Amino acid sequence: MLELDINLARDDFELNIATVIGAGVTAVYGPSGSGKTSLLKAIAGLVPTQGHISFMGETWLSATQQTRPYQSPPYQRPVGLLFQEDRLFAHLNVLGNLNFARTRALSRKSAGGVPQIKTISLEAVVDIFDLPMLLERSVANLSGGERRRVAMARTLLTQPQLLLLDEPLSGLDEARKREILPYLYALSNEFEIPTLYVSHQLEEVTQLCQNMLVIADGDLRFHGSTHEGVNYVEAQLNDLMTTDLSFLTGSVIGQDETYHLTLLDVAGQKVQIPQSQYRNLQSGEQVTLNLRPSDVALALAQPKGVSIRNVLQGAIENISTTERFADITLAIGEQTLRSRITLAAANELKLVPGLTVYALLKSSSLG
Amino acid sequence: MELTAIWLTLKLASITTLILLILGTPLAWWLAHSTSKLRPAIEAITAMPLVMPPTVIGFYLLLLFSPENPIGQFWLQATGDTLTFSFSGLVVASLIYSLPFMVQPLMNTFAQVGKEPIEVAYTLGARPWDAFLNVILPLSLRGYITASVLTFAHTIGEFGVVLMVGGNIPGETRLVSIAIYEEVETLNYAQAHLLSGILVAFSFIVLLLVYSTNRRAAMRVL
Repeated sequence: MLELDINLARDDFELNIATVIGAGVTAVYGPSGSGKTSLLKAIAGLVPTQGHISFMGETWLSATQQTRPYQSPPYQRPVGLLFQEDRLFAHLNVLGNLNFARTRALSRKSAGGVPQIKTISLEAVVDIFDLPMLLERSVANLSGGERRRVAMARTLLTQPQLLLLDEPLSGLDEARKREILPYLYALSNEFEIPTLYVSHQLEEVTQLCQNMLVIADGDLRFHGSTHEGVNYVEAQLNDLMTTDLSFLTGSVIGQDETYHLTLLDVAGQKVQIPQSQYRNLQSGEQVTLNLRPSDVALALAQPKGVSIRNVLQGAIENISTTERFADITLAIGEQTLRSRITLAAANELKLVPGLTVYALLKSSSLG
Repeated sequence: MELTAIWLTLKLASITTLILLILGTPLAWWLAHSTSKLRPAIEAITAMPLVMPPTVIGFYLLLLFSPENPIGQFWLQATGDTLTFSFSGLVVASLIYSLPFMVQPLMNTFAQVGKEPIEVAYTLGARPWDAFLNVILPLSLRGYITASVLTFAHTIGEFGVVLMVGGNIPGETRLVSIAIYEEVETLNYAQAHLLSGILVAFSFIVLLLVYSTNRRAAMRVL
């Protein structure tokens, strides 16, 4: 769908990406300064780029040493770019910002050669992003979350065939993130637009994206499914990880409608999680669980009479200790799980590598 | 009659401001956003009229405008009129003399507005002209007001350059500032007082306008 083979050189930085990005939501993951935003800008046509970009058979960029360079201007590419800083126009009110995109999308549609699937109406975005009360407001009087919603609505009104989201949850506190997250699901699910989702938070990636690119130092390190990508990041890029979370991948095996639980198979063992508010998970679907190591307790025997429902059997791979804590890595099948317990507890349990233990998952989140 | 001088002065200031709005916009944009090595040199040349004595500018312009010089000769052949001691000569001289008063506030505004709004406009489907007219222009409006007011006012206050280039021909080059000079020379203090008073009041009102609409941009120039 989106074919990339690009080279982008800045003063002290070079980005080299060659891959083909398909439908669905693809994460662009990497540490800060790894070239994630530059990649989006290159795709949108905002920065001079070498190489080749084509989307659904239409060439957007063809600039190599041999051929005469061709770069289609950004205003002709059916791309919706959501900037990290929202970048609403200060001289227009909310409706003015939305109309700016809406009126120009009509002229752009006829300019591009790719047929439009379905038109996104002003009414639809106002409804989805809960904007009726905000339309006449000046953008200066919007909260951070409101600004982001208006920016998302404006991006959609360009009738994009490719969405580029640059860290849409950055700069928001936890409460605002929870406010925005459902809208992000709506963005990718309701409109079914292929999306590149830039993030340096693995939690977000596992919650929102089916596929994943890992970029570090301007190079593409990995492109595949999210659960493979998370394992790759844990194994290869430990020093570049920006999270202390531990991840487990499971496949959906069923739903418990009485208690609103989703049943997962994690390395042959059963795990129950609360059903997602946003997603209908199908049997067989791969999902990634985000676990805080401090929420993973350990027991020497299969515990009885506790409220915790998720217990996984595993073998201790590694123990590293600090003054107060012991960080323990467990092998759960092919996967690893990290647990943080107090040093006193670790000593009392006489934990050593190779020992089989039971990990109690106090809570597990899934978007 | 001094009304002619006032009318001529307002006409010169208006024409100069209009032309500089058109010429100054691309120049200020380039100065605000270019990464070229030439930029500091062009910026310095643009600011030269701020620091040079008006008589120096007037002297060089007089030489350039003279029909013996290619520029003056070309103008004479093209229009049938000389650039020296004519209204069109005054306009050209004012364009040069007032250039920094248009370009510097605009440059500051463009730099402050930044390139981001243009990028957004492009990704929302706006072509370059559309983006400039509907995004950059409204976002830079206060800078445009400051730049226009300063240019207009500064052109009205010109003396040295217009005296050297234009002389004192009633209805053609006799501006208010030159009229005042002549009234003082001929000891006609009453008329000098009247015209000077008008200019003082005008300058105060203009500056009051500038400082109350866009304090920051004005401070950078004055």
